[in-house]
Amino acid sequence: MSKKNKIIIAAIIAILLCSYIGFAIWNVSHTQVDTGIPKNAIPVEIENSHIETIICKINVKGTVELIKSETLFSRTSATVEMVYVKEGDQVTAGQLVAEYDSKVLENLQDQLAEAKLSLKSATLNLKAAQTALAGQDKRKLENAGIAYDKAKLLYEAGAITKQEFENANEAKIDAQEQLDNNLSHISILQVTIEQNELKTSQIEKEIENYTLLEYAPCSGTVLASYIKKGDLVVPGHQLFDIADTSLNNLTITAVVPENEAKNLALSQDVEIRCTAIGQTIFKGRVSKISSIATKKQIGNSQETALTVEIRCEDAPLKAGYTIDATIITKIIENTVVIPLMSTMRDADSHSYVYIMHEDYSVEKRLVELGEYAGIYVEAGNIAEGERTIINPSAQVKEGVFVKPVAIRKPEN
Amino acid sequence: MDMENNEIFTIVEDEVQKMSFIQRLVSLFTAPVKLMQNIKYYPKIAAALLLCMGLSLLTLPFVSKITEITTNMMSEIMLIRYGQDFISFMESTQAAANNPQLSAITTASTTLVLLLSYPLMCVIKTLILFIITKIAKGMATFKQYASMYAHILLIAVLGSIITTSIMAAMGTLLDVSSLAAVFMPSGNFSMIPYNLLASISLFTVLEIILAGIGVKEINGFTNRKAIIVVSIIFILSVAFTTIMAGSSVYMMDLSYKALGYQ
Repeated sequence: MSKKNKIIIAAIIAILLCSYIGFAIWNVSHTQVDTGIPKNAIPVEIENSHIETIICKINVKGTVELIKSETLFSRTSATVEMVYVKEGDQVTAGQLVAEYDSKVLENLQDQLAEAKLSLKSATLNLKAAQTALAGQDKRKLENAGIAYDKAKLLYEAGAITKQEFENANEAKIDAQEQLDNNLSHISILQVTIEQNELKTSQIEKEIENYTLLEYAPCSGTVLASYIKKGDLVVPGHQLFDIADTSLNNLTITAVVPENEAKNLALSQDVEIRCTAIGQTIFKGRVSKISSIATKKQIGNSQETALTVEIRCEDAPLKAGYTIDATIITKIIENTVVIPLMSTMRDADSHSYVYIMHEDYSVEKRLVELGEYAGIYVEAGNIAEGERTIINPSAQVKEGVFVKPVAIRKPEN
Repeated sequence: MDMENNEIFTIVEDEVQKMSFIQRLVSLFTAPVKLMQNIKYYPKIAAALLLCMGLSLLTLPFVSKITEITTNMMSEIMLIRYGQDFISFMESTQAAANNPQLSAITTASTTLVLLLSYPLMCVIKTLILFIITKIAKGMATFKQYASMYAHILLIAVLGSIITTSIMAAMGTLLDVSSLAAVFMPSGNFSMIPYNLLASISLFTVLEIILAGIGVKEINGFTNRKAIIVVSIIFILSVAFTTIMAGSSVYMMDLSYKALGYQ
């Protein structure tokens, strides 16, 4: 191949290469121009501000609880002979619920009879001792005294021997000792009588308090039974929990964190959902708000919270159910909202958003945020239809150009 | 027998004159056959490789722009695919980029990567070609192939300088010398056909033609055998580039799921 041909071929190849690259540049540029978006615009997600009615809600979890319940306690020591109700049974006030063994009562009655006999016996003994003391013992002492006085005169006159005088003296001392012994015996008998009286009184009281039968203190459902046949109970032993389980006696208790409590008020509407019942949403109202906030366990953390009671009159709730409640605190109609994800805060804690204009340029604008509604927030200083940039990156600044990107939403 | 071969080799070597480095460079474009014949007897590597490394640094001014374009493109793909802004995840990285010390470290590491990339590319390509031609019973040595690729990579460096500067000027990641620039200019690397077209550029085609000439001249292969060998290399190269580009999106998918998103 001649040098000239080589040069021609090389030139043709070079022209073809340059043409290819030139066409490629034109082709790529043409594609970019068609979209109208400036080169190197930062891709962003855009959402238009829109008019919406904001329903301010507080979502809480709650538990259905009984307003009032009765606990029946044993008043005596006894063995349970029969239990007539079990957990879940319906009872009426005064209904027999349990019966005790009568052996203990019979035993008490025997003890009472025995104590009474002992008391009677002691009383008779005392009487006999007092009679003896008043008659025979005193006379014996007086006679011994007279005999001693006589023996003393005779001994001093030399009419009797010393031995006879000492015998008279001993007889007087014996009479005195006997009298003293009888006095002591009387005292002992008096103490015995007092003891017997106390014992009798105690047994009588036990018999008086003793109840063979236990009755329901109120109408309702037996929530818990703590005894079974053969159990030994003592006074104060817990027997049954009984409560009225109708809606009148049920309330829902929930805790509201302090940061959400500002709009909370009595009689606010509540939407109640309970998985145990189904998907139906029931209506309720806030019936009570605690006057003090306390530390409560909410989720995995301890938070200062208010306890709120909610009354619901049409749901087939049962005590112990867990419910999800939505307290509707405020309704703001027809206001401009923007996505919460588009809002940011500067160093001075001012909220702002980035707005994309028609020419894809970005404007940073301060906004006044109002009430929150799910993923949206009420925004002042924003007109309906303005395009806010969601979750703007650090590259997004006032004056830069952005490229709105259609987000592929997850399929649910 | 060996002595006879050595004598023939010495006689032919005497006939092929030594070329200066400048002559080699000119021959790369004007007389590639002659260059490859010369490489067969005088397989020199250092000068060509050093020139590759030096020229590669010319792309350094465009790196930050290309990085910005890449980040934007990644961000767009992430936004479209997952509804999450990739740039948001990178804010800490960007803040670090504003730090002069970290910026200097980034520039130094980029320079190092650029400098090392061509010698590494030369070694890998040489090794693959060496293995394939050994299977095809080629007689070329590793050094001969290394010398061949050290020269051929000059085309790749030139291509890189031209396309990178155009890409930076146009604000696109699309290689304007690739088939994708003509046939699929609005695609992105989450699309397999786009990755396939983007991996075939004028410069890669030119590289493979030069490699084919080299394989034929150095080994004494027939045209057919040389074409088969370089076709295998080309297919492997295109497949590798396509898979690597596609795998970045696959890795993003995996990372996204691993982070607990759906």
